[in-house]
Amino acid sequence: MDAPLFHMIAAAPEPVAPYSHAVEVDGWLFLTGQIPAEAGADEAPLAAGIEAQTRRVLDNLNIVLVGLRAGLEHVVSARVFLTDFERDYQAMNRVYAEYFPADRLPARTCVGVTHLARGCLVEIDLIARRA
Amino acid sequence: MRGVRQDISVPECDGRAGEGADAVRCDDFVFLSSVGPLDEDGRLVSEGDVAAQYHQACENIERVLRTTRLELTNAASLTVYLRDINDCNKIEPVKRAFFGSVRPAHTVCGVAALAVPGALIEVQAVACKPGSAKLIP
Repeated sequence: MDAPLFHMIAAAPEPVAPYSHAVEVDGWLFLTGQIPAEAGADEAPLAAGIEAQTRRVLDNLNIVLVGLRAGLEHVVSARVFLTDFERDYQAMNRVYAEYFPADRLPARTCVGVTHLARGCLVEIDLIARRA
Repeated sequence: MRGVRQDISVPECDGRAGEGADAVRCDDFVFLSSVGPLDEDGRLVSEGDVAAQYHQACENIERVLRTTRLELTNAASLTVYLRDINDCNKIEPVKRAFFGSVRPAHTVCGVAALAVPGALIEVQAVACKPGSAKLIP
């Protein structure tokens, strides 16, 4: 087993806590959950609404993956955390489905939680495998 | 060759078709979508009984794993999401019945909502082909 690599991606939003954007071992990529913060505008208000926030989260995750020479098509497993599950679940799913090839949807878990960083509506973390 | 991937679908495993594969196998690992307490027709079982719902979720995980020629006891990690964290002791006897002396990493956390109406529990598993992990003395 290779030694793990701890990645910080310059183009991704500044971490809001002590973590790497991703950790890599033997081609496995473990991505920290992303919230809908905007890279380069970390103090700016978050986008309003679940659709815009889900897009920002998946765009952020894609920034991290691309920084690791991978993409959303390499994702094997995703976890989605929502603060208002009943209201936002279907709308989040619609946006989520746009980001993944229909024949390469990751295994997925989605649960409702009481709170997320910066009061955001959605956080998603990923496990990917570089081809 | 690394990174070989296979998406696995089991009919009516979780009642939430279209949101993701039931599992994705990649190399020696199988990543399952979380499963709820649904029967093979996608109906909620054992309303109000968290132990029976955990039992059903474990059976569903086993159904998915068997399509990859693995068993529930090949699970490396289970994450259990409970609507009421006070239920955590109630699932212990069921866990022991399924796993015996096999002890996968087992995380339990309380959540505010789950996708299946009436579900008290969802379980997410990662399994590993036997022999791909070595016992560290």
